[in-house]
Amino acid sequence: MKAIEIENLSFSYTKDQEVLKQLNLEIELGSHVCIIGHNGSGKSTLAKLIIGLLEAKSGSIKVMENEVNEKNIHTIREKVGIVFQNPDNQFIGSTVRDDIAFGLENRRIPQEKMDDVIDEFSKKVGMFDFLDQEPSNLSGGQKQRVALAGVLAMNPDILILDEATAMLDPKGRKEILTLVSKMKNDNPNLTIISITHDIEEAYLASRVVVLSDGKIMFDGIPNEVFSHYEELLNIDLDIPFLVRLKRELKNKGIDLDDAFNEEEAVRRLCQ
Amino acid sequence: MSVKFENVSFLYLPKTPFEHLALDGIDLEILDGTFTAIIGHTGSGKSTLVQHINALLRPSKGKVLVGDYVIAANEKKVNKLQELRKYAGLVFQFPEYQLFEETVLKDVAFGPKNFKDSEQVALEKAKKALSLVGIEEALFDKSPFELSGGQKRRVAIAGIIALEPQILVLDEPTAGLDPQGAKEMMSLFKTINERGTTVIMITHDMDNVLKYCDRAVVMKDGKIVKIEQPSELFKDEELLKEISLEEPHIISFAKKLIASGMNLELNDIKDFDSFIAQIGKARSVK
Repeated sequence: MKAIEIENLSFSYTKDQEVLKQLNLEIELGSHVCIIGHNGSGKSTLAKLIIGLLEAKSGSIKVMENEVNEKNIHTIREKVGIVFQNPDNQFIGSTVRDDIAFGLENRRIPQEKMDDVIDEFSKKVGMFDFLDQEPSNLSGGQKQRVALAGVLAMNPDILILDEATAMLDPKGRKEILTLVSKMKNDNPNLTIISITHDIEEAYLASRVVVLSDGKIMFDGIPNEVFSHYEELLNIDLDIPFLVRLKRELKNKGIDLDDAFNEEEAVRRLCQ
Repeated sequence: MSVKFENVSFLYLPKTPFEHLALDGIDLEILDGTFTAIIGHTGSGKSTLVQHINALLRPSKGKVLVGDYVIAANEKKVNKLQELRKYAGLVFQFPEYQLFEETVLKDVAFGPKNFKDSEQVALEKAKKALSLVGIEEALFDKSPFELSGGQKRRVAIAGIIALEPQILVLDEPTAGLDPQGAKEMMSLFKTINERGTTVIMITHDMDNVLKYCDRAVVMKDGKIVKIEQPSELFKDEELLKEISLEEPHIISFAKKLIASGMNLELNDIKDFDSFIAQIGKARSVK
């Protein structure tokens, strides 16, 4: 069974502009995939189609063998959890506790069990001491950690992070990325799909899919994908520091091609 | 003419359980025509500081001088407040959330009209501002909500630029933009600064601080801990550690090269191009 199977998927918001064009993509269960692309490349649209917030124009999406459609929407949302970009738009409860409880209440989890689940997941994201705090007292990074706890408490098979770190300061960003790596270690079966334009985040994944103009441009392990740096720069994406360094130095006649990390690059440059 | 903070303190929600000294004895002068970065962690007082510049917040103690305008503690009214808000334009974080008009052009013209410009003058100013931020005429009559995230941000910023402020205050203007969008946004501010506008920018992006700013004001716990040229700032290892500031990648790499014996001048590194040029130079001398 695959986590996600997408066939010939097309979507457009307006008549004259297709955002996704006959997209095909399979994502394995338990994998960590990063989808990168510039603003407007269709990556967030794809996430919304997977969880059934938008409806495909043509083609199909299956989530663990369930076709995404109106009939299956509850099954889909039981399997997929999503954390969005804006920490302020997804805080529902008046306290951290209420916020994590919201999804559980919807699933009619009994009170006694709910308290245990809230304790467990607030501890996991390091927000146990904040359970009775109001959202306005929290930083962006803390709010996103609460959002993550709320989603993980529902025990999803697939976690989508839709630019979940884009609005955070560097410290908040680091907090979330560290937490996601920890979640993946604790639960290797969890499928993670992170949508981002943060190149460093892409390196945490085992597979990188580059979207451009509604189509898949590259698909592979991070090192393989970033070896196409000229094409990535052409579609306005960033490339990792070391890749860029080697490229620019090569233009100056300094060849560091086989330096695989920064230390090696320093050693070669200072020889 | 400049922006001057004289012993400014700001008490947030006084006499409530949330009372908090958000600014604590700030002394700061920002000269006309400069490009200043305000940096520091979330909660260090950066936004509180800049919101004093157009009197959105008033000092609990001390005073702020902005051009000829005075914003002082204990004074009920700020003289010519309306004019001050035109003189010092403030762009909030995620300003695109404040778009509201039916069309792009109307949204940008709203500001000048609100400041008593005639319909025609307001529209002229709006068109000029939109062209400066790179929004094509074809989009003028669209709803702002049909635009992409980056375009919305530009329109929102044009709304402030249309007021033709002498001082432009920006609260994390590149947050959430993709790398290319952020780059274009920064060169826009550079252009505006080169035309004589004072730019004051809160940011977490140290690459932008190094590349564009003349000075960085470092804040911690409501106080200014350092005012320094960016290239000097990133040499101060102790301070970097104290406020856990992440230096630009080119700087940390250059430091490793220096530690391994390369003869590099950190002061000459502003961006990736000058960084590569410096390495090339150091290697050829050898």
